[in-house]
Amino acid sequence: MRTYKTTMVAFGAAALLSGTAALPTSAAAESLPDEQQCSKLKSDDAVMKGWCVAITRRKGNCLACHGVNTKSPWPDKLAPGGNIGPPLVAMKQRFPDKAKLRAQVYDATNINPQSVMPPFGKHNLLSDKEIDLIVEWLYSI
Amino acid sequence: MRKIVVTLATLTLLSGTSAWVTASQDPKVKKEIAEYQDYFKKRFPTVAKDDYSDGVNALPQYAERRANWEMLMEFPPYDADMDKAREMWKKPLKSGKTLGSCLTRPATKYPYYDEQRKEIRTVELDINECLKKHGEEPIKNVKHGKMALLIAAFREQYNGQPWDIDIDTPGAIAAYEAGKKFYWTKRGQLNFSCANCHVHSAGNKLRGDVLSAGIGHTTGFPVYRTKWSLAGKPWGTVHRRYGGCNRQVRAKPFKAQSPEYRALEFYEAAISTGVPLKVPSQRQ
Repeated sequence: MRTYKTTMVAFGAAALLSGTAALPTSAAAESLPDEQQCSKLKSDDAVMKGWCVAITRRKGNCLACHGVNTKSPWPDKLAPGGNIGPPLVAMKQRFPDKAKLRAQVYDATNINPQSVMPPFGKHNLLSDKEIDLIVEWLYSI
Repeated sequence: MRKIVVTLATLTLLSGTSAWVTASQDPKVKKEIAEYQDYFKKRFPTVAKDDYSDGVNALPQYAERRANWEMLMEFPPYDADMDKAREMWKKPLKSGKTLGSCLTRPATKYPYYDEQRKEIRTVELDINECLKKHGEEPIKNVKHGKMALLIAAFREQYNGQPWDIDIDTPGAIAAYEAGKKFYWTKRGQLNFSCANCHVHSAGNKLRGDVLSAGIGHTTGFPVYRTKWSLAGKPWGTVHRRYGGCNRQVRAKPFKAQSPEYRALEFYEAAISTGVPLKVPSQRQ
């Protein structure tokens, strides 16, 4: 969130300095779908489908434990995430090896036995396909 | 010199009136309970032991919502029911005796291990035994309604007194160990132990909710719960709550008064040694 705010301030300052009223494109962007909109979503975009698997309570329910920093605006009807797990930011930088990120979602206890994260793949909470979609989305944020 | 100071400080702590130590004389049990409670002292340094009677409301992370709860407590929603509960408790049974004639053990010492019968006894079991003994029908539903009200009327008489579970006999120590195993074992499709949420993540946010601290957990039961009142059954026992917890982690719940839940209740009361009772309580 802090990064997002900083970016907005930077854009605002730039706009003021250049004397134009042009808004940065990110502010005009449509907000992400909420859980209800996700249930009706028709999209082939893996990142968007991954977002929907992630926020849906009977699916990934990632927001129960993780806060998320998204590039597009946050949906009005979606409560912010919890803070039991680390915030989901800069995932590509934190997990340069995509397979390691996937393994973390599949069964985090395999990597750290003390982890409280549910083993989404091992316990069939999500299908292999759904885990792939979540990884695609994580890599986009 | 430093050693002497530390020793003196330790002695002062140990001899202090604060009951952050256990009633058990078993050195292993005593040490484990002290360690468990010390963890919360460090995690929430501003929360005093007595504050844990208020459950999640005691935690600084819950401060924003505590105001709502305090407002609700000005006219507690359970007051009318408690009047009924106290009448029920005092009402003579068919033999002319009251429930109070059977339940002479302080509420701060429930559950207890009965070495003759080789089992953990809860208030629920002793109430039903008393009803039977004095010519009444035992209460079938031991999770909510009448049973919860009777327990509330019994336990509130000991409000302000600290948990003081007896964990000295071999059977009691075994009961403690059984409850401890349950508490720390991951279960359900979501793979959570009680401790994962209420020890390791206590005070953290589960979406908009704050996870309560394990210490003091069973102190305010039976509870009058907003969530349960929506379904018309606001009152619930500890075992009713355990069932809900197990379902939330997508595990098959055990029955109320099952040996598993009685052991868990025994352990939770043991690790709360020293926290004063505050019955009933309102929770969301």
